[in-house]
Amino acid sequence: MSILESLALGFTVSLEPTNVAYCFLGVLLGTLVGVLPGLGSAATIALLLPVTYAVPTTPAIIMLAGIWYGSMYGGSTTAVLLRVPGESASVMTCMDGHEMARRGRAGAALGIAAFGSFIAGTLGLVGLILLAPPLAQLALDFGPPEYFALTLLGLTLVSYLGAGEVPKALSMAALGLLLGTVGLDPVRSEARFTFGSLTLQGGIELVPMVMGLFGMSQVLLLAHGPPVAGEVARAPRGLRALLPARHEWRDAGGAIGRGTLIGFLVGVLPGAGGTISSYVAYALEKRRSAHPERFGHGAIEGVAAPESANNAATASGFIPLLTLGLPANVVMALMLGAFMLHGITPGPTLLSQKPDMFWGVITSMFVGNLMLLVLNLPLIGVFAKLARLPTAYLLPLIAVACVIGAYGVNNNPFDILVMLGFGVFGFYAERSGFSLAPLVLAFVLGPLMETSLRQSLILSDGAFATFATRPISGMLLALAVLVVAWPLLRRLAGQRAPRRAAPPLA
Amino acid sequence: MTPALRGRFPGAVLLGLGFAALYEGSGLSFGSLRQPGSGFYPTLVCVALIAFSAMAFAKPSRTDASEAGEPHGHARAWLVVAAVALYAWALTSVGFVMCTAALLIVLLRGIGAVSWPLSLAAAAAGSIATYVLFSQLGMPLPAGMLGL
Repeated sequence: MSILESLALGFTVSLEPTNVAYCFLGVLLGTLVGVLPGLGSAATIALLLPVTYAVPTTPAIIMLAGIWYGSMYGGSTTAVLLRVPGESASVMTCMDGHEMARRGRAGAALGIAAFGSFIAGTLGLVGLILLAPPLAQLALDFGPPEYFALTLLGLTLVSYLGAGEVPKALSMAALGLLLGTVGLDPVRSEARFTFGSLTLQGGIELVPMVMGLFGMSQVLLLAHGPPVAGEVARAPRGLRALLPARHEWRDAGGAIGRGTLIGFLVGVLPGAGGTISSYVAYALEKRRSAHPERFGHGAIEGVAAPESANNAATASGFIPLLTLGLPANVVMALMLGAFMLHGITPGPTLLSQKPDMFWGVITSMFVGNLMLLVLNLPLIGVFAKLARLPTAYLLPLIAVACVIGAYGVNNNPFDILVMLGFGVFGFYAERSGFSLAPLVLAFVLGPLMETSLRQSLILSDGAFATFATRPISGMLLALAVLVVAWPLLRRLAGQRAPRRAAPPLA
Repeated sequence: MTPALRGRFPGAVLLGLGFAALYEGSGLSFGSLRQPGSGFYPTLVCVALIAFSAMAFAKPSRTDASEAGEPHGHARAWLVVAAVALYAWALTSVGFVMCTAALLIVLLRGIGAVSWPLSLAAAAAGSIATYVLFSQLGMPLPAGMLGL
């Protein structure tokens, strides 16, 4: 099937009235969670996972995807008007966006964020469409050693590129792998770490776990911390106020293009995603600018570049999941969970076995991006008001969603306690600088990692060399080693440089 | 607890968990490289957990924010924990609507300091609305002793 035929098939699926309705619901919810500080896209997708039981797979995935890229749009509204990033990927937008708003250019900042997001999201999808089929074809040749090397590289990248200190991230990844072993051994069906409990034989449920880690922990953080407050800039009135001036378009055009490219490339890497891509895009714009001193004081490139980058990263983040079955970040791990709740394993065979679903989900993102542009521009004033929703009301809202969602998995109150336990753990982990993303990714990837490791060893008669001698797995392992050794190599290079520069001792 | 001890505490917990899991997993068959058993992979993971958490323990947390936050912040967080635990315990016997209303009152009034009349009204409306919504979605919610 050619690309055009595939797109035609995709649009017939994504433009079905039910799918359009779920897409709209997803982008609307995504914008709302992007606007509301304290409730991220990961928490919302976790909260909605149980609801998707009652929905067919394609609309469920379309809705969840809409929440993710919708939250990127929503995050920019609070970043510009309140200097509060609704999403971590909007942190860089706060700096120049809010400064522009204070100078009466809130409309231009929000406008360029929305247009930049739309352009980057659309171009990112074009990249996804072009890259996904050949990558899926390549992945069909992957055997157990390649999958083991790929999961190892993924977890290494997540731990090294993510936020926080590396030993902490690695220990969280190891804990996630350990939690993934609870239940029956996937090869011999022997019970492990179940302590005689029949409930634990099925393993730890993903939904209560992620609801606790991302939802309940936020409730506890909100209960513990002071209410969120920020300096509110006046929301622009009327669509005309949102249109950037011609010179602003000229300044921002290149930044949108570069941000899109950076976001797309960084978004494919496990653990990097929207947040890191927005930092990199901002840093690049500042470095190449003839007037870097303008950054932080209302430079429109400082809004255009990070906003474009985080939206392009959102699109490219789907590539590893849809083609290899490997989530690049925690939201994609939840998306993998959603696929698996419906009995579907995303990966190289998804394209050949369920092309309607594959292309339907991808083309729905074109539809969703257009909806977001139409939705965001006229409703910015409403979203700005919603962003001021006091913690006193936001906290019970999230808490009730968490308890209902956890209970709904098996209609068992025990799952509420599991969710609560992970919530308390997530609360203390977040406060101690232990990132939760490596834990969840490792938990999701753990069973695949174990199965592929054991199968590889059985097939190779116990020879670990099989991972290094096969070209693809050898290359992936070499990359993992390079990622681990990189800080050491840089330190060594740093020590040598001054030594060379130092004058000889006379 | 001193700040230095507090900074090492999360690493120590993970380290202890690693050793406990290694002990618990020692009863599983390790197998060999040619035929890895059920305990092969968990043992590797436990060793990795012990090694990485020992590194985290050796380098105490700089970002620990235990001192930050509002006064009585911890008490409020633990009030939420107690309320949700009680909710899970009472849900089947007392019923969804009553339990959810009680939880909302605790969170609105006890944590958010919302006025009593508003808390009661929001709790009643919120619990009934969620009951109707999730019942419509096909989720069987416990009716409890009051039949609600």
